[in-house]
Amino acid sequence: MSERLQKPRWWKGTARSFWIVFVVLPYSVMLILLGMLVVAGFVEAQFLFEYVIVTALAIAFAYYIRTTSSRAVWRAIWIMAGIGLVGFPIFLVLNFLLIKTLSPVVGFLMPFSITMAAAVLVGAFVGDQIGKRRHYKPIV
Amino acid sequence: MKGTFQLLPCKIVSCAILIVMLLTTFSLTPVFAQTEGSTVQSYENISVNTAYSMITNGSFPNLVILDVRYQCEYDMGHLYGAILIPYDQLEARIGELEEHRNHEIIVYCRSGYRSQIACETLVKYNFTKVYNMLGGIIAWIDAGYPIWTTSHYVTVNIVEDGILLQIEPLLLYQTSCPCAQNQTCSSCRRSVNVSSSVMEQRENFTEIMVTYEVNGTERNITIVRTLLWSYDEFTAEANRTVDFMLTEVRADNSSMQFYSLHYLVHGFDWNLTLYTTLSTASSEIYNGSFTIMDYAPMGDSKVTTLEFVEINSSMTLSKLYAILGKVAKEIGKVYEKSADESLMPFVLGYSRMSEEAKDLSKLVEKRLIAYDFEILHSSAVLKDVMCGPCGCGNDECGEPPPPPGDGIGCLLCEIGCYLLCGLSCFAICAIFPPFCPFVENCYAYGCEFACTLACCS
Repeated sequence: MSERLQKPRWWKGTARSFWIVFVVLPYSVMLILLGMLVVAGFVEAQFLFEYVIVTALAIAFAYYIRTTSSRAVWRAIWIMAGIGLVGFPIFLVLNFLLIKTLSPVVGFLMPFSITMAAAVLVGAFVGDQIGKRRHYKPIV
Repeated sequence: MKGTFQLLPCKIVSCAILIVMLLTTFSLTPVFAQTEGSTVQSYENISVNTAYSMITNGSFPNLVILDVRYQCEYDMGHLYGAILIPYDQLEARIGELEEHRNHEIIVYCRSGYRSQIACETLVKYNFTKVYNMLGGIIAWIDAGYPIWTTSHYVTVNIVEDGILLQIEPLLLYQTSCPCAQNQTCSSCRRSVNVSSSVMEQRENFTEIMVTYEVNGTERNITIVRTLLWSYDEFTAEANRTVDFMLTEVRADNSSMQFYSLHYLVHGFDWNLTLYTTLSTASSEIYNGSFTIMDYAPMGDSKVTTLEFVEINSSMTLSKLYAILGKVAKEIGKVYEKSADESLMPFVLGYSRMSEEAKDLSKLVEKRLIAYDFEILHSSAVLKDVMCGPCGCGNDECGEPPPPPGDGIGCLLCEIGCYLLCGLSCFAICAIFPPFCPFVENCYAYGCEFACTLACCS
């Protein structure tokens, strides 16, 4: 089943105007601000370059997913989000608990593997469960 | 008749004095009155310009450049391709030059005296084409010709639009070999028995008792160190630690206080140590500073560079490190220009020293503002020591240098961490599009902070 681009319920305008107001406009403002900061010498030009590339890719990715993806792809996105949002903090915590204490005794590889596996599995499970409750639909 | 008899002894005495004077003059002529082109007992005196053209124009394929100074002087700097036989060992080692009996041999020393004696020795052993380079290596350097050297004297002057650097070979300032004849520099160092014990240690406070022996008399020094500021940074590339301390040294009835900054960097296959002592003049000014920056990569040879830096202007502590960074960079360029294979490793060494000194400068400027005062006079020594496979300072392969942080583990952890964190940033963007314009910020700042903290601290 292919999800069509839908506007959020709270948004009165069109779906296209939602993307313009909440994505393209902040991106443009950020570009102008960063450009000013680069000129003033507070930010390196390399960061601006990376910002343009990475953010454009992220927006294109988000828009593409929103307009064309199937339920299976959305499920994968929720699993990825779970790994990132839940698994990453688990990784950080386990890293402190396991790697720092066990590495001097049993070496690095075993605690690192446990930490990584636990973070990915728990994060993926939690992401999938949250996504299932929302029928794998995006938040906005 | 009587008058004739009286005059005769006077004439004889006068003639004798005249003959002695003439003989003395002739015997000293080779020493004091050598000129280019003059041939003395079958060897020819040549200027550095002539020597340079003989060496570089390719007309003498079998040309030998013979350095007749001592080992220490040779180590400090010599003409490219020169072989070393000290002038007082030349007779004993004349066999080493046997195959060059009919080749051109340019002989030089520091200023021209020892080379003249060496030339005479060579002529005595029937060497046919011997050239004495007048003025020695000093004249050679003055003429602007290149030498192989790993020791420089750098003077720094701060001017309105930047800094002025003057880099010269150290041997111009070293008037004689610091060691006795036939000794290597390392063998003539005096050993002093020193032992130390920690008397008291608390969180930021250490008291150490140092005992040493001088001329059979045992003496004690108490060193009290108070840690005023500390900073650690652990990355996949290297571990960095900065300590700023107040040190009080008490001996007998006297004591002295000084500040010191200790910067340690442990990389995978290199270590860098920077130590600065700062003597205080008043509450917000340092009277002087002395810095030793020591870069030690792992390698299979033991060539050492030694650069003395004299800064003739006053500047802040952070500016001092910025200047040392600049000096290290310029010295690296000198080694790069030399195009000598044996000196190429130092290009990387001084580049790293430059980067580390600049980073330290920024760190001091931002984080150590409370002690970033003006220094009236500064000097420094920069060293690049290529150590053996067992590390520096222990030829017996004893204790290896400290490993860098978590090493490869740190790197793997960071890769995993960045992957998860990056995924997180992209996934949030996908399910919540207004976050998309901040994905790069999330990755560049959030992930960097979290992963550095999580993996390499």
